[in-house]
Amino acid sequence: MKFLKKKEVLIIDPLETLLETSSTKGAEYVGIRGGIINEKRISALNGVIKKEMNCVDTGYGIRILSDGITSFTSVPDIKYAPREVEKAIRASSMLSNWKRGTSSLSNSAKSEANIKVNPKINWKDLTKQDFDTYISELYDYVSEKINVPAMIELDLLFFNWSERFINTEGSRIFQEYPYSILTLTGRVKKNNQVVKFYKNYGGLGGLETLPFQNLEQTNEFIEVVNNLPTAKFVKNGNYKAVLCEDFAWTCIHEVLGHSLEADNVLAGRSFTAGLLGMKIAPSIVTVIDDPYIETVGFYEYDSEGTKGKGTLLVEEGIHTDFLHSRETAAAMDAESSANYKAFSFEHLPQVRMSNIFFSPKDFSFEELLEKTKNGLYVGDGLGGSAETQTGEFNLNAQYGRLIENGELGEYFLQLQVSGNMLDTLTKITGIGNRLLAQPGSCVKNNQRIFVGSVSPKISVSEMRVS
Amino acid sequence: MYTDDELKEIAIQIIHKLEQKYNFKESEVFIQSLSQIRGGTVFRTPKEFHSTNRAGCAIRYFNNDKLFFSCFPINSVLNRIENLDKQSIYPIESQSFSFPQITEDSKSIANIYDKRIASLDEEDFFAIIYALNEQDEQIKDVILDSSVTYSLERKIIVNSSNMLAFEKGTWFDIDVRALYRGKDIIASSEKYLTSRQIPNSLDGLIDDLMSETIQRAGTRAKISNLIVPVVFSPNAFADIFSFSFIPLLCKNEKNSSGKYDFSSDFTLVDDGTIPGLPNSTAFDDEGQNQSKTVLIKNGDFINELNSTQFSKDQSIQTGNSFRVKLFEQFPRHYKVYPAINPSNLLISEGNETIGELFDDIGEGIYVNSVQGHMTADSQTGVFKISTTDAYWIENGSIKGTLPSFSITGNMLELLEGDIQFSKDRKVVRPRNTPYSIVIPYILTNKVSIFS
Repeated sequence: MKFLKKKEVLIIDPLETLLETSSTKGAEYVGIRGGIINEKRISALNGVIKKEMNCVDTGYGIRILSDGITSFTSVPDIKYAPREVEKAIRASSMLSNWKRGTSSLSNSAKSEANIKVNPKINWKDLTKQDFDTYISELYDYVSEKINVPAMIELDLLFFNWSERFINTEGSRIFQEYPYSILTLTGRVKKNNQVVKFYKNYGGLGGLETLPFQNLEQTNEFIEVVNNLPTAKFVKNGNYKAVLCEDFAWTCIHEVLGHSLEADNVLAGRSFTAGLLGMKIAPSIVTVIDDPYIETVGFYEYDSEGTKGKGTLLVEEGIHTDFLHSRETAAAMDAESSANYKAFSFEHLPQVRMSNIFFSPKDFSFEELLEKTKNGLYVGDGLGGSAETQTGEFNLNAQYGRLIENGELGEYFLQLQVSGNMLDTLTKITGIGNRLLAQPGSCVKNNQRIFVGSVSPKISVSEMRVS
Repeated sequence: MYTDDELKEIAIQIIHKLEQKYNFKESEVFIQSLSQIRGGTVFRTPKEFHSTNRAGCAIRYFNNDKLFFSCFPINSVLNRIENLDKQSIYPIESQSFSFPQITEDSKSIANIYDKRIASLDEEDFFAIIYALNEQDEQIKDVILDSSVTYSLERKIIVNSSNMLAFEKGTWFDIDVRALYRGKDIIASSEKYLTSRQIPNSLDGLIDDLMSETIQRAGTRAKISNLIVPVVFSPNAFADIFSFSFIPLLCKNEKNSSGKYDFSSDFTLVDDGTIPGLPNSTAFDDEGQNQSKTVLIKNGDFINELNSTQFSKDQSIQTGNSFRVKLFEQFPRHYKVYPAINPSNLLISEGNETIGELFDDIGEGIYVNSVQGHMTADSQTGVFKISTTDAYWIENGSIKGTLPSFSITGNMLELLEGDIQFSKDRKVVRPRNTPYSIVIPYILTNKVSIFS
């Protein structure tokens, strides 16, 4: 039994005790995550605060490898954990009596770390007067520059995520990260219908990651909102296109990225399975996943204690790697890329992207437009869906703009881009020289996590637009 | 996990503390306890076994006539609310309202609780997985993957009426995927089913899945005419309808409803009291009794869904306040602020079977599944989708499978037009939504095809 020293009083460390008892029940491997998530949400409409919500969530997630079968249990209170662990081991035993378990874990270094990222401006230290001032100054700036009748919504989300991880291999890791996200939404009338545009700001850290102290960051949001009332519907057709950073990221994340997750490969849900080592894109295309970019996708260790590292997924058009957990790495004779993640202790982690992006190249925005000459500029993403098994995608953009003689022209309302990813990759003609990092989120098998929307602008020779 | 009595006791302790320490005149405690087990197979090998447990509570209270909201874990809530009045800076803007009078704690709905699910017994649970695997092994050239989830939710609401509402509900969820090697392609299809009890048989689901998968691997066809009638399957239409229309039914939506001239064949009812349907419940997440509400009758909007907080007329309550979290395995979560949502929607049936609808159109398209529907715009009704499973129909029967193509349309116009509903209806819980829809096949001429 191990002990924690707290205020000169020795108390039993419940995680260590649970690990010790669990490992005596025949499990080959046990990993325990104990987490605390603190959230504050504030919403305002036209500068007036309408809603605040505060939530605290605590609990434990226990992953067990027994008889070649992985099992997972989560509990809100550790007192319920021993019974649930027994149940999970019993289930593994039943399954392995039915079919031989094949799960195993690739080797991993024993890790010890204590990481705490402190925000420069902590939301917990802010007074009502501080919030009132920040929000009203931002609203005043935006509303002064918006010259059409508009409703401006502001949604703030601060969360402090902390998790302690221990496993039977001796790893002991504590991580605590603050993240902040601001979503600005503008609603305007167009032919008696409300149309909207939203944009996210933020990243790893506190209030300093949001545009409150650099109000000019909202200028692009203001410009789009100003142009929505006169925006037109795009004509269906195939267009040469320049994709803005957020849409380029949506495209690479939803379609290529998910197909590079090794658990999808092993489940037969990846169009890139079997393409390792093959040329899947022009030589200007290099794709990387890197958890160290300071977005809401930042982390140092993944949810099984593997130290994060950048992964080169596509190098000069050649598919070089997949994203792995220790389990998928063992199955595919590879190394974990430290991409086994779950936001909450309540869930068994899955292989997830952190910050996936096209490596930037030499083209300025003006050069991408000039190269495209006549076509369509595709604005910020609005989600959509993709079949990772086939690479077929169907993604929406919040707006578009005409490209005419290499110049940006009139605005278009929400549009949809569809196609096949392998086909689209071959049509990439240029990649911008500047990475933009914004907050993004991702849902996989009913688990949402926050990730970075990181990308340069790219140009493509053809996209199907409706 | 916590026993029923422990959960009730904690709820009462919290409400007493709110009343005694803070002297709140109006307060509400909502407790959710959720236990799930999940497992299945992928490529004939066992998937991970999950056993997840949640217990948390949400508190709403009026302090000096201002409404506040916070959430806490059950095991530390009594300590954490020591400084409750200092945690929230801003109130939630709301009209004045009272939490509902909880009158009956014994009221219940039949067939929403299955003891076999509630026991969360892994042996019983795996019996289903084994049975599915046996079916898989009997079918040549097909691999059948499955994922089965048992869910037990217990919810408690206690408010200043000093009565306690308690309900236990169970859900059985199954996702199945078939992979089939056809003549020259490998086809796959997926199906899912939600029910409140373990179904007597899954044969119908598996048979449907198999025939669909084999059909997808069959002869390929081309769209020879872009201006043809389209028949949507219940699943495909439910997906589009959910994101392009259903938000209009909620009273706090920004757009006002009631200005439409829908087909007189279109009747839509919300009914949370039907035994056994996926979202039937004795009371909603504010403690208001569920009801049957006719929303659209013969094409006319006659009612809207509401909740205690968002009801202008407090005498008419539909009981549609739910704490919904989209994109979750279990779509309700105590941490979400209660909002208006449907329970179970029922779309009127027509007079003809799906076979007769096919005969009527002669030449056309049958759309079985779609993607891209989640970005539909309920303000305008506009949707743009891509098909993931569609077929060319000739002489009233399926001629061959079609490659993916785009469909655009406007749900409001589509429902105003010459729409036809089939006699056969299915219970569908659209992906990523908390409600179910009893929905027929739909035949329309009012969509545009873009290939």
